[in-house]
Amino acid sequence: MALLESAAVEAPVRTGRRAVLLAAALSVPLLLVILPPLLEHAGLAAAAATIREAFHPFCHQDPERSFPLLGTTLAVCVRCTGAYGGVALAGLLFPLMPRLVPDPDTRGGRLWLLLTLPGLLHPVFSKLGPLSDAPWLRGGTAMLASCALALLLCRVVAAIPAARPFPLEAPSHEQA
Amino acid sequence: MNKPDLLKPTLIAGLIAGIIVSIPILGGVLTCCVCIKFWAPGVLGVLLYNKAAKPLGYPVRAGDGALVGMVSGVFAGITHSIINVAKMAIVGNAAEQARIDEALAGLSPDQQWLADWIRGVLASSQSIGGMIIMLLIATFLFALFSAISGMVAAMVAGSKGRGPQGGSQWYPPSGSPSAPTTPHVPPEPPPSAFGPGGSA
Repeated sequence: MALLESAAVEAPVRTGRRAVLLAAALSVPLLLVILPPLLEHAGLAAAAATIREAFHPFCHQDPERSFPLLGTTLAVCVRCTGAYGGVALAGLLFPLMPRLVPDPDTRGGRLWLLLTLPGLLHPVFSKLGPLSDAPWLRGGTAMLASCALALLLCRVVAAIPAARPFPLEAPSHEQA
Repeated sequence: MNKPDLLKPTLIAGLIAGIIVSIPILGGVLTCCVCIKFWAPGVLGVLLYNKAAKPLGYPVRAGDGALVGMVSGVFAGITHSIINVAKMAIVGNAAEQARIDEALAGLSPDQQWLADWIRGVLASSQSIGGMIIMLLIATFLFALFSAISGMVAAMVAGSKGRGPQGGSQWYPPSGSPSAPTTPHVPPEPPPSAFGPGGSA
């Protein structure tokens, strides 16, 4: 019975090619954040402006609160950079530690959500005064929260059963 | 066990969230609230999906939440981009252009190259290609973060209706005719197309 329950709760975790694709997809936002200064440095200011404009609805993009790079700043603020960095980091970490990430549908998965608390509370407490508003703390707390959440997402995606490519033949026990 | 319709709740959530986050002042306020813009479509989609799933006795799991959130995010990203383009075409360009021209008029003659450069950059970012790139980026970001928020919403909402073991066990409200006598056990997953299962 215990085995049955654990089978119902624990879905098999698949890594491999799917994990590589997932890591690539999760690193796209961070690459887009880093790209504008590089494009501006290469003389492609219009392309850089387009990417910056794309992030504008999601971030204040205040240069004083953004990481500098090549004489200009990244496309988003430090906190958002941390959040995108955490997502990218999760894509890299998950294939190394798939079994350490709990199934999101279990109590362990819900406890895992506590890792997001620093990222949720820091903006409030840094405004109220008790916590420092240092860039490393803004970026670090956001990175921890987004990495924890993205690891859970990786766990969900890895547990999706792979589709059979072409089930042309009937199972052998039906042929008998 | 019947699955609820995926399209209706995600479309409604995507449209509502896309419209709300596109309202200028409200959208700015929502960005300050831990980037609620990103999370809203997924959470809203899962709430609507969960509402449709309850009468069917279908347990909304984290995977369902991630899928619902992702689709809601895609709809929200498309809605948001369409509204932005329309806003730019109707009111945004004239007002913003006047403000930019006024700011650039203050530059000295030897800084005219800078004014020309800024105008060129703005023109290219407002071109069709620029708008398509912005739509793709916005839709991707909405989809990714809404998938995460949808997953979390399903974890939180689903935990209220599950037994102590969590997972696939689902206990509908007492008195429901669809109350199962044994816990639901998912079927054995088919073999992976990418090789044997198991951890890396």
